[in-house]
Amino acid sequence: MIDPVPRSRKRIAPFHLHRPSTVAEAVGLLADLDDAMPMAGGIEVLNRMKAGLRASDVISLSGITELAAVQTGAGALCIGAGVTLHGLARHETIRQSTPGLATAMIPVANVRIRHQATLGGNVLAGTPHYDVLPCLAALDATLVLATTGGTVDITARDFAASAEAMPPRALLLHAAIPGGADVLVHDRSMLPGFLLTLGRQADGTVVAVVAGAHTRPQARSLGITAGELAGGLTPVAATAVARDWARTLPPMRDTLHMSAGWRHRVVPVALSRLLAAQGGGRLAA
Amino acid sequence: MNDLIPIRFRLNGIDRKAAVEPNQVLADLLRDDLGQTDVRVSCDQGVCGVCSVLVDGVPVTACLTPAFRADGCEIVTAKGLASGSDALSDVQRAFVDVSAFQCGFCTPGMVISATALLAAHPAPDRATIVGWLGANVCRCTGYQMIIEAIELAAARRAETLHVRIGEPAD
Amino acid sequence: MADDRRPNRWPADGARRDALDKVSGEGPYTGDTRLPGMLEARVLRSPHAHAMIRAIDTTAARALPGVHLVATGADLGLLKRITFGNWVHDQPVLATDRVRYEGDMVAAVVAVDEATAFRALEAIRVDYQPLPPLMDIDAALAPDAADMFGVKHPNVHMKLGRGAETANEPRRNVLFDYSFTDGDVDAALATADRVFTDRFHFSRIAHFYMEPWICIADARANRAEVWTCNQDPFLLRQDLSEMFGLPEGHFRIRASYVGGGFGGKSYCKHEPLAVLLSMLAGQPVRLQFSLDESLLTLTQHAGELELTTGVMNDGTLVARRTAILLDGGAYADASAQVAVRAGYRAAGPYRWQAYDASASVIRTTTIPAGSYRGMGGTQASYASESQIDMIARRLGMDPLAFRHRNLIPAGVPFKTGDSAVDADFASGLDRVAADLRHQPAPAGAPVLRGKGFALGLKDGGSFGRLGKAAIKITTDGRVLVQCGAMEIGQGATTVISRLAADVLKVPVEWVRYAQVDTDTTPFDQGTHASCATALTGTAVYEAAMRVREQLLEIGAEELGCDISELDLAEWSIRRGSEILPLEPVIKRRYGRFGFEITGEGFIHHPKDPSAPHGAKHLYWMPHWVGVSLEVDTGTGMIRILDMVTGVDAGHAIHHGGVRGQDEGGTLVALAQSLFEEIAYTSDGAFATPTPLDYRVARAADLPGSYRSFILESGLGPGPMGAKGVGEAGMLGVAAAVANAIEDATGVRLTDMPFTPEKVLAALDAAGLTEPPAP
Repeated sequence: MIDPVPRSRKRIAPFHLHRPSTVAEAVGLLADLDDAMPMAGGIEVLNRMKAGLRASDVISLSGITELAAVQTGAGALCIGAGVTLHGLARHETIRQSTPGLATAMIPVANVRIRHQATLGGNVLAGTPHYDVLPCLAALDATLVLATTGGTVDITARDFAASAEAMPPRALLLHAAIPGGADVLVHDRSMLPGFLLTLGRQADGTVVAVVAGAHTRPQARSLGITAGELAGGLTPVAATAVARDWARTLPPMRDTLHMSAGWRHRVVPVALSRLLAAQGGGRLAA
Repeated sequence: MNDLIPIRFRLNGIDRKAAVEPNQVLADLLRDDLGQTDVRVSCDQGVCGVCSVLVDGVPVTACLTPAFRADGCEIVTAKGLASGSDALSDVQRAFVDVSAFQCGFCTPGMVISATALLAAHPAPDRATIVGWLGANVCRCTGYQMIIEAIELAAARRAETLHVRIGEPAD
Repeated sequence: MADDRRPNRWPADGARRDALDKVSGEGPYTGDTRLPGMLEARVLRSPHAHAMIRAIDTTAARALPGVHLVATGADLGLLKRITFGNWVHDQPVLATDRVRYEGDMVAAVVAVDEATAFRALEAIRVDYQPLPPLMDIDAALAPDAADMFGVKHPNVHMKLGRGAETANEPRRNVLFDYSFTDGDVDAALATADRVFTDRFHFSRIAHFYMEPWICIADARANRAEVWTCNQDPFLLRQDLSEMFGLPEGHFRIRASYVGGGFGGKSYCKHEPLAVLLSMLAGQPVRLQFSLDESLLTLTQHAGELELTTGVMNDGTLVARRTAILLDGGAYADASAQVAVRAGYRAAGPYRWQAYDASASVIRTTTIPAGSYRGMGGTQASYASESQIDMIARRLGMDPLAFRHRNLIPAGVPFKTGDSAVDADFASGLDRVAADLRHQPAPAGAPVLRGKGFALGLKDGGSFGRLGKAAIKITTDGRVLVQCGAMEIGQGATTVISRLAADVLKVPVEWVRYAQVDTDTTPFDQGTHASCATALTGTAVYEAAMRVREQLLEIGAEELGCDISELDLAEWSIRRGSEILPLEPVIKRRYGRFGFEITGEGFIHHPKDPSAPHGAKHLYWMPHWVGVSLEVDTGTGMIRILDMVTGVDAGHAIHHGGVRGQDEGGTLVALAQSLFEEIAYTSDGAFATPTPLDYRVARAADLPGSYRSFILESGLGPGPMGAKGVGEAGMLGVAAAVANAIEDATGVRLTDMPFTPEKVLAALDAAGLTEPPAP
């Protein structure tokens, strides 16, 4: 049912703007203000406000330099929540530590959006087929949040499973990616139906994530190692792995032209092809 | 409730000052307050790219960017692409020569994207062009002539460069 | 691989006349107009598909500071007729007692600015009593379906010609009936070796013009001035005159560049509301719709098409019967004309012993449907060219050879009493067949490949149309052309400027095309039916010829010779090698304060009751399409590998303009074939309400490779044999895609769009896929 009042940028209700320059300041504002909305790139917040969402206060995060940081240390790569998708694709440290993740971000959305959208905004938007959360879940990354009580860690996979995992009034600081983990492939060719991500965990096992087929991305281990995958799976083996993996998925969703039935049918097909292709096609024929 | 925010920026080469509302988007600042009618809004959702402008050289969705974020930035709209006494930039000239437009409503955003593309990729292949054009919707042309205009602009730049290298100035 | 479209081909084509305005960003478009004291209006829309309005409480909205007025269906007293629509006037300016689709307009707010207008809209409370929605044709025609209106409306009977009948509002929830009979189809079918009946579902898409709908009205004083993106200023003036009970001259409609229309900005839209609000407010009012609201304003027609076709075993077509039901949505708009054209055009470009057609427009509680590029020809071509292919395959004949055997040759009337076909259908088919690149699928890949062809067809111009033009030329040779052909992107300014420049022998840069203003522009019946080149162009040509004659007469007097010895050249009179510059001559004759020479042109395409549609169609517009594609048997996804399309421009006045029309229409039609659709959920909610939900083609949706070509038969009715091409690009694509899918898989899809889900289901049914996992 449409909103009787049209969507428009002129409909964005007035709000008080806060522009903290430190995380502590932002966390304090989130704690003190009852109706505050953090805004990073602004895409999600402004689009929802154009559709009538109101907040008395908006906390612009773009002035907090530490949110834009990319650091390695303690066996993990920490990517600030304010890093843009363009930054994810181009930052030298990310390209060295997790080249697969950087490559995965290159075709996301379009150049305008990639420069504006941030890791945090993309993860927290809750849009089923957005790209960053499935990638982080495939890497078994940890989301590090700031609250007034100190930092809180939740795994990307727990957050993917349920948005309720996010504590209230928390500020996403960064995503911590365990050393050795990387995205193997992020396949957008089945959009708008779904997207598939294969990630190599720090322990060498492979996780597959399907996003857009459900309201939240679904991450499951494939029960094989990256070495086995790179060695080449026969089409038969790939099909078996994909079917076993898909069997544990909850019921999928219907969207325009893409029914749950079609998704149930096609997700394992697309996954098995993706798996078979990882061996460089050596055994594919 | 709104507290006006003073900002300073450069618009098409001219220093400007403005006081903006927190809930004002860049497109409305440019179009409504500063009379920049080449900044047009279509989808109002960040999908179509009609309102694209360059902010510090990067193509930006003006309908989805808070105006206060323009503070300290260099903004270029389609009308500001030409330099010197030329009425059009080389990219715009290529759009004219290929007739890479019809109704013209999306064209300012298109030439903005094309300009940014050629700055990042002076000799883009077709896949790169198609990828960048994902930022812009045109309902009239079917895109092929736009792609060719971008290729033409790139080819002319390469030719110019070649001439400069090949024929030393006297 | 050779590519004949390298950029270096293009500079020779010359710039479009609107190039600088558009590429620089200058414009102007309607939204660039601002009037002193202008107020902002926005509308409240129904969230229900079908409901009675019990009460509207606007108290809180009216009380907001900055709100000038809130208007509802109870505030239409200044209107003599509160409804609009073509032939049947059934769409109220604002809903009165009932809403008939999700998006129907319920109230309007006028405020100092848009932000205030939105606050006021949010404060309006409407009490609805929902009624059962009628979301499609079957629901609307069900025996127990509610009557959407319950009354007959003011209307105009559409009188056609030989064999054609029409009726307005003949039955419950039926807006319009059209029937056409040319010969005894039953008798002819009885002689056929085989008779096939096939049904097709045509889905509908939005116009999705990039410039959202906008109108500014200033109705303060003794007249009403209107700035709007409408492509039919004179038709709009007539509607406003009738609705307000004021003389046509009371209204002045002004136009700028129109940011795309594709039919969606034709005929009266919501200008009457803007005028009313300005009258009530006593100030200029700007009424703007968002692009979301533009999606809610008008769509193409979905339809169910049933074709019964008789054929001899040797492949000779015998007779066809067409039965079409179009989903007209909630209100009439231009549905009647679409039905007429769909029914007539479903005969296709083939010879028949007998043909008859019925086409009805069914009302549903969905977005009103109306003019859309192709105007029924798209629906008709889809069904006709699908069935032609199916029959060829059933007979074991090559689909192209089957078409060739039955085509109407150039020079033969399309139907008895109609104009002769003015295109060489066969040569275009040969061209697409020769140019299409097609290769078999790589071994082992889970794909099937196929190629398909289609020959879409639409007529151009009917209903006895006319064109007028006026030309003024200053002492320094600068030309101003005035005519009512709106520049909606199709290139009218370029075509018209070039025609005038060619006749007057001045550089095209000297020709300016005046923006349309109903006070000063010669009358025009609207920028429709791809007629700007063929009809208005002829009037411009005539006007230029009148100016030319006057100039030559001056020259003859000055040089003391006969006109036949003279010609124009670069603002001079030329006699052999003798050159007489015109500027000093004219100044000498009329004095130093100067002069303007003016000329007028007029063409009237006459009515003819012996023609099926009451006038011979002006010309014939084919669209040749070839598609090579592959179908993924694991996912049902279709990939377009190569595509070739072509149009007949008669004579191409600007090749880039013609090419752009074909390629632009083709990509829209390709998107419609594969994914683009105005859709509702199974429980009746609008499923594609914003541009994020409504997917249109982007550059990445182009075929793997695609070439378009232009044929120039020289047979069109316009200057130098020119004719229109604006709607051609929509026509043949969906059928060519369906035909290619059958070629690849042996499976026929008849239900657009051909989504992966439908493809996979069809492959399953044919046993072409592995069974799904347990």
